[in-house]
This record gives sequence, C-alpha cells and structure tokens, in this order.
Amino acid sequence: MMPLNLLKRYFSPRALEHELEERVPVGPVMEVASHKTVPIHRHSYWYYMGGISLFLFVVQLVSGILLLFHYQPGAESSHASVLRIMTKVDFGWLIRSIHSWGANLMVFFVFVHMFSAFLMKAYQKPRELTWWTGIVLLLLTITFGFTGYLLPWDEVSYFATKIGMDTPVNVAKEAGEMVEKLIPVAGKPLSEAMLWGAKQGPFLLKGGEEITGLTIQRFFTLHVVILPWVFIGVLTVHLILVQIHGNRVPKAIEESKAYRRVPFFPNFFYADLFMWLLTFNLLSTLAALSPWPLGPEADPIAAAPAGIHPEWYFMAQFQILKMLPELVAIGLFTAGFMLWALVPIWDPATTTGRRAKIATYAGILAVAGLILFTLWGYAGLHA
Amino acid sequence: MNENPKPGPTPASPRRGFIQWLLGGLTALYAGCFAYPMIRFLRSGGAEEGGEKVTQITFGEGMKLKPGEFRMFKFGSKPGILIRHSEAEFSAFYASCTHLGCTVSYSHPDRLITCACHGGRYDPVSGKNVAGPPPKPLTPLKVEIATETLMIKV
Amino acid sequence: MSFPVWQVSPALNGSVLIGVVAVFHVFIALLAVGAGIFLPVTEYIARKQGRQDLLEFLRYHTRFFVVLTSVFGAVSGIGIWFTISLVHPAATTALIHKFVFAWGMEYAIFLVEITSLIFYYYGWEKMDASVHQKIGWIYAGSAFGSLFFINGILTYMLTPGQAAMTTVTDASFFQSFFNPGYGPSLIMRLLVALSLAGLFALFVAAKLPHESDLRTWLLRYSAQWLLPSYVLLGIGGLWYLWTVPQESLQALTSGIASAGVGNLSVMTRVVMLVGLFTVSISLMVFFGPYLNPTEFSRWKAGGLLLSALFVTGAGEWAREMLRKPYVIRDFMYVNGVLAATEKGFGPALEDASAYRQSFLSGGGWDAGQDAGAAMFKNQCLACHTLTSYRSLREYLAGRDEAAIHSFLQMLQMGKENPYRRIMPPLIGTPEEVKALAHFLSEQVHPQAAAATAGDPSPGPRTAAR
Repeated sequence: MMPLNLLKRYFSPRALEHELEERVPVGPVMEVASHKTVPIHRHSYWYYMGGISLFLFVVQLVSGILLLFHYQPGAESSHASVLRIMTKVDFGWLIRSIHSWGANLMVFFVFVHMFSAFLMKAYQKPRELTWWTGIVLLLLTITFGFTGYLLPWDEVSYFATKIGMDTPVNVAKEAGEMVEKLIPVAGKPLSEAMLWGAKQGPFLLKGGEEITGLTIQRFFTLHVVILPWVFIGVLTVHLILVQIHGNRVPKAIEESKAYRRVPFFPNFFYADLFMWLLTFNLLSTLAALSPWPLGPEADPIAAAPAGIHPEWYFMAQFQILKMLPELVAIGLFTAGFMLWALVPIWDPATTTGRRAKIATYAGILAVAGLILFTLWGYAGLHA
Repeated sequence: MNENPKPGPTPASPRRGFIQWLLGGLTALYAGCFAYPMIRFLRSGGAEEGGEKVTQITFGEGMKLKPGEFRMFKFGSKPGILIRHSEAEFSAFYASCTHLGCTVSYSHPDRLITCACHGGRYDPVSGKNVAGPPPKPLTPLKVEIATETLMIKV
Repeated sequence: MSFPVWQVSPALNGSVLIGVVAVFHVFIALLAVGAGIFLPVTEYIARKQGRQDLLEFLRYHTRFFVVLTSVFGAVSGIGIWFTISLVHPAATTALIHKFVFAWGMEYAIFLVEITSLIFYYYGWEKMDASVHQKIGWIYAGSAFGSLFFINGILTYMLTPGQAAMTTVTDASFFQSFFNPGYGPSLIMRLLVALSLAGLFALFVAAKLPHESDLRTWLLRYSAQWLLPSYVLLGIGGLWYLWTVPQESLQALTSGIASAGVGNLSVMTRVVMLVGLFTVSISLMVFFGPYLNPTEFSRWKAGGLLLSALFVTGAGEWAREMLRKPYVIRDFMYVNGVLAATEKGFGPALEDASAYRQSFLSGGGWDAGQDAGAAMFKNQCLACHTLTSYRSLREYLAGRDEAAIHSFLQMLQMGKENPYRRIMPPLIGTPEEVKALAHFLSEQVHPQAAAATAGDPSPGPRTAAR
C-alpha cells in the first residue's frame, strides 16, 4: 500500500498542479485573464478579424512545417518536389492547397482587420504602438506571400518574382533621367549612384544579377526561417499591447452607452472558437474543391505567358502602375502608405474634430479605391 | 453595461458529465480529421528523388539487346525505356506515362508501348499516343551508337 | 433513342439542372421532416411545463413551415419529377414500373402531411389543446412516412443488392424496397432531419430579444436536437459505407494521392469535406448556442445553416457520384445503355465486339441527324457539358481528333477499359464512334475546326454529311 499512497501523494493531478504552480506561477496570469472583458455592440464583429488572422497564421505555420518534410528547394528540385507533393504524396495536394489558400485568406483577413481598426480609430492614443506593430505585421504578411510565391518554381512564380525584383531598378532609372535633366553637372554621377543603390536590394535577395537556384535558396531561407521568427516576435508585442489596452469601442457607441461587456473567458473565447471553425470550413472547402494549381516549370528563356498578372492583393497597384509612369505610381504608393502608417501622429485626438473626420474619409476612400482599382485591373485582363 | 450569466451548464448535474464526455469525443474526432491526412502525408516516402539534372548517359547494356527486346534505365532520377527494333534501329523515351505518370513497358507481340495503370498505348517508334487516356506522346530521347556502346541524350 | 434528349445549353446539361433542383429539394424536405417532429415534441414539453411563451414561439415557428412545406417543398418536388422525366426518361420509366406503389404511398402521405400541418397551424388558437397535440403527432408521423417511402427508391438506385433489375418492366417490390442501403440511409436522413430542425430553430430563436429567458432556453434546447447526430451519425455512416458496393468504395480512395482530373478524386475530396463539416458543425453548435447562448447571433446561425446546406448538398452529390457509372446500379448505365443487353452478348465483357453494335440504327428521335451529334446527345450529355460542369472542352483539351478517337475506342474495350468504373461503355459501330470523335473534336477545338473548314462561324453543325 505504501507505494500507492506515495504515488497518490505526489502524482495526483492536484499535487502535480501545485508543484507546477510553485515553479511556473501561472496563477496571476490566469487571474488577469479572468478579468479581461470584451465590449459587445453592433460593430463587435470586427473584433473577430484579428483572431481569425491569428488562427490563419497558425494554420500557415502547421501546413508550412508539413510541406517542409517533402519540399526540396533548388533549381533542379523545387518544381519536381512540388509536383511530387501534388501527384504522389498522400494528401500532398491537400496540405499544399491549404497552405496556398490559407495564405490568400490570411492576407484578406489581415486587410479587413486593418481597415476595421482604422475606421474604429483603434490607432489613437494610447494604441499607437499596437497600430505600428500591426503595420509591420501587414508588411511581413505580404513579404511572406511574395517569397513563398517563388518556391514552387513554376512559370508564374518566376515572372512574378522577376517583375517584383525589377521594379526598384526601373523606378531608379526613371528617377535618374529626371535628375540628369534637372541637375546639370552632378546629375550624371548622382543618377548612377541611385541606380547602383536600387540594384543592391534585389542583388542581395537574388544572390546575383539573375533569378537562379540561389534565389530560391534565399527566398526559402527568408520564408521559413527569418520571416516566421520576426513575425512571431512582432506578433507577441502586438498581442501583449492588445491585452493591455483592450478593444477600442467606437466613439459614438461609447457615448451612447449602447454596449455591454462580456468576460473574454469563456464567452468571447468560445465565440472566437466558433469563428475559427467557420473559417476552417471555408478554407477546407476552397482547398478541396479548387486545389491550388501548379504551372509548368519555370524557364528563364521562355517568353512571359500571355495575360500574366499578379495575385489579387497586388492587383490595385498593378492597375495603377499600368496607368501612371512607374516613378509617379511608386511615389504615390510610398507617400500614401506613409500617411496611412503615420495616422496616429496626424489624428491623435480622441475628440471628434476635423482631423478625425479626414481620417474617416481617408479610410473609406482607401477601401473604395482598393476595391475599384482591383476590379478595374481584373476587367482590364479580359479586355 | 449589464451583467452576464456565466455560460455553461450548472455544475455537478449528471448531464454535465455526459456533455463533457461528448465534447471530448467531438474534439478528438476533429483532431482526427487533421491527424489522419497529416500522418498519411508524412508517411509517404520517395526514393526516386535525385539531385543533378542529367542530360546524357552511357548505356552499354543497350548493345546486348536483341531486336524486339527492350530495357529500362535510369535517366537521372527519371525512368527511361530503350527499345531495339532491328540491328541498327533503336528508340528511347522517358518512360513516364503522360496520363498520370506511371512507368510504361514494351509489349513486343503487339509492337506497342503500354501503360498498365490506365491502359495507355504508344507507338514504339514515334512515341505517339495511339490509344487510352494519355493526352500527349512520350517525350523522346536521342540514341547514338558509338563503338561497342550506346549513348542516350536529351 | 427511344426518348428525346434535352440539351439545355452548352454550359448546362440535365445532370447539373437536376443537381440544383435536388439539393434544394432535399434540404427543404429534410428540414420539413425534422420540423414535423420538432414542433409536436416541443409543444408537448411546453404544455407539460405550462410555458405560454414557448407555445407562442411555436405558433410563430409553425407559420414558416406551412410556407416551406406546402409551397417550396411541393413545388421543388414537382420540379424533380419534371426534371428527371425530361433528363432521364428511361430510368424514370424503369423506376416507376418497380416502385409505383411506393410513389403512390408517398403522394398519399404527403397529402396527409400538408393537411395535418394546415390544421396544426390554424388550430393553434381555435383547437382544444389535446386535439391540437394529436394533430401534431399525425403531422410528425406523416412527415416521417414520406421519408420512409422515398428512401427505399433512392437507396435502390445505389444498392439493389440481390434484387437488381433485369428488365425494364421488372416489378418485384419488397426485396427491392428494403435493399441493403435502406436501413443506414433511413437512420442518417432522420438524424440529418433532426439536426436541421434544431439548426433552423436556432436561427429563429437567435432573433428573440436578448433579455428574454426564452431565448437562452430555446438556444440551448435546440442545440440538443443535434445530440442524436453526435452519437449516431458516425455509426450510421460506417454502416452505410459497409453496404456500398466494393467498386464504389475503391473509387472513394482514388483522390488521396492526387487531385488530378481523369479519375474520381473529386469524390474523395467532397466526402472528406462532408466528414469535416459534420464534426465542425457539432463543435460550433457546442461552443456557440449551447455553451455561450448570449453571444450567439443570427449571423452566426446563418453561418451554421450555410455549412449545413453545404454538407447536405455535398453528401447527396457524393451519393450520386458513388452510383456512377450506373443510373440504376447493375441495370442501367447513365447513358441509358442496359447492363443486361451488355451481358446478353455471351462472354461479352472480354469480347470488345459486343460494344460494336449500331447505336443509331434503331431509328427514333434523333434519326436523320448528324451521327456524331446524335451519339453525343445520347451517350455523353447525361454527365458532361461542353463548357462548364465536367467540361469536355477541359477534359479533351490537348487531344486532336485521333487522340479523341483512340480514347473513345478504349471505352469499348470491356474489361480492358480502365474507365469502366467511372464511365459507362460506349455503344456504336466503328463509323458511329468515328463520327462522334469528329464531332467532339469540332466542339472542343472550335477555332481549329472553323479554320480548316474555312467557316468563320464556329458552332455546332447538325447538318448530315
């Protein structure tokens, strides 16, 4: 009987919990978590978007790690191994389709999350850092998409990367021509310096002048090592900040008091779970009914396929680039994005002033503009 | 702001135990929906992968074939098929069926390259798909006869 | 050739049309069966507990089902008859010969169902409580009865078991009606019906004012209507799969390693989704209305109903796919060719010549038309469209006329035919098959055909050559 008693004493769930608590004191954390509340009102749905983005990131992490078990980066092996995943590996088509569709859904929900945060003015004091870490996460998400796109090494992935890598060089060339015209003597060396500077980034990423096996290797390293760790770090800060400040209640609702607070745990947590299950239903339907395609292997000497166009989340930029000179378009994007990112500085107030109104209109304009130019871009493809 | 009732069944009711049990079962089932494809995915092996792209191999065995015989060979990581039609006539192809990628074989009595998976048939001289599901001809390889040996090239 | 074939448009064939009508009808019919049980059972509970607010809710809830069953259910039911008799008259004829009694009973029972429902709805205030409750039970019984009868006909088409038909006028009934798939299918459909009733009640109850006790009670009560499914749906599903013929099951696993066209991989993918959705709907009901009724909203109930609509449609679709290449298993192929005719040619399955009898010589509706077009209408159109669902333009892209011809010849190879588990055999003389290959090649590569013919307008040409 003695050993049984000892076992009971030291290994009963309660005893183990106690031992663990002494070493890892989670009690205070749970205490804080139990007091966390979420405001519920008619715009509460937007609060799910961040959670859905987070869930999709986890899906990407898991499906990405699984793909690593079969994917072989390299000019000779990238396309062959993805082809093998799609046609020979059990459920390989499923894991890859989940990863590709998941990436698209993640970009989509990150955008929705950002616009909803913008329109609820969740960037205003004291949430500036939450906003900026969010902006960094958005940029990282898009970089994930861009680097991952090359890895299957098929026709479209090759050309998408080529276009992306050439853009800074083209812009520098256009800017250089202008500089040469405007500045008489120093213009020539200045424009050459600009061109040289613009080439450095793509050179470093490509591992040379051309897109080669080394480029796959570098994009791969970014995609599976550097970006994930940076993303997880920034995400942690973002989430801690959200815990500190809580959800932003829109001003009008705050004033009218037309809301109630529910505990995060378990109420809102269950609601989050519900939304994640729904999101995964959507994702698995897309992956199963429309498995992600794989084009023919990239061939650097071949001509670009007719009607080549970027993924939907670059479509608006693509359309604007078609309509304006590259320099002007890129200048506009940069300026617009800087204004967007710096909104906590030019609209810091919590009162409804002129600036707050301008910010709201800017938000609506940005959403409408993105949708308009995206549709325009797709319409242009078939014309 | 109004108070919210704590969700969940009242504690210690017998139904609660049943419900908890069900919830556990459902969660396990859902986890199973993920685990099954993942395990199948990880268990799928592949010995056929190779590194370098091969453009040419020497295949001395090929000279030992009698007319009407064939021999399989490895062209880098991919399978190839060499057929000797007569003393001087050889043909070689990548042996992957253009339908779903099974490895093809040669049937001398019918004078056809055949695929056992879905019944594809190819002409052994031109590689043209003559029957069955294959949408395209087999990809041909060049055969060069040197003294005493035989070279197969892209 | 005994019947005309209806080609709706190049993008729409009969099977797409019937798919749309059938999914709509099945969803409504199962919902109606579930509600037929939900309403009187809940009324019984309400009367026992003396809950006036719940009775009031049920009255409101009933009105919707009057509209649903008597309008949408009835109209879509007629719609199914209309569509199947136009799309597959041969199979319809055969099934009527066999199941005329079951269909007659289904009509009669449906009449009882509608009548009792109308009495049930208008009697909420005017009738004595016990009479009203009794009418409710009649309604529940007749709702279940219509499922009881139609289930025999539906399952027979996939699992005839020992009672496979041999002639079009085969009229043996009971063994056919209670075929191997009858039991598991009835259980599964009943469980789905109860779940749908619960889900729909969730959708309606979510709109009640947040403060009311009734809302919380109803949400948690309705969530429990999915409980039988939690426990039994898995068992029912396994039993069902156990009765499905072996060849059909093999087709089910064909999509594990690849998602390509040319096999039935899409069925694997759809069945996987059905499984995943079934479990996820259960979990969503758990974390949503059951554990967390206050945060449950109509919007979320809509997400649940949409998932349920999807899983019902996908399940029905998979069942239809499992039956391929037959429309009535072991008797009639989807292209109307009889399996018995096929067997009638002696050791025919090995002997390819069995398939080379003339398909068009019998005269009938398409006599005098272009042979290729007639072959296409009678032997391809039952499953394929030119441009959209199972698009021939997509499947045959990259094949020239010779390649199409050799593909068609393969469909005449009996046991050697690798597609015999997916597609029906092709019947026709070498000339007829050649004409079909030419026709398909023209349809699949309209530009090329127009260019070689010097004809600027690519399009179907039906003139005889």
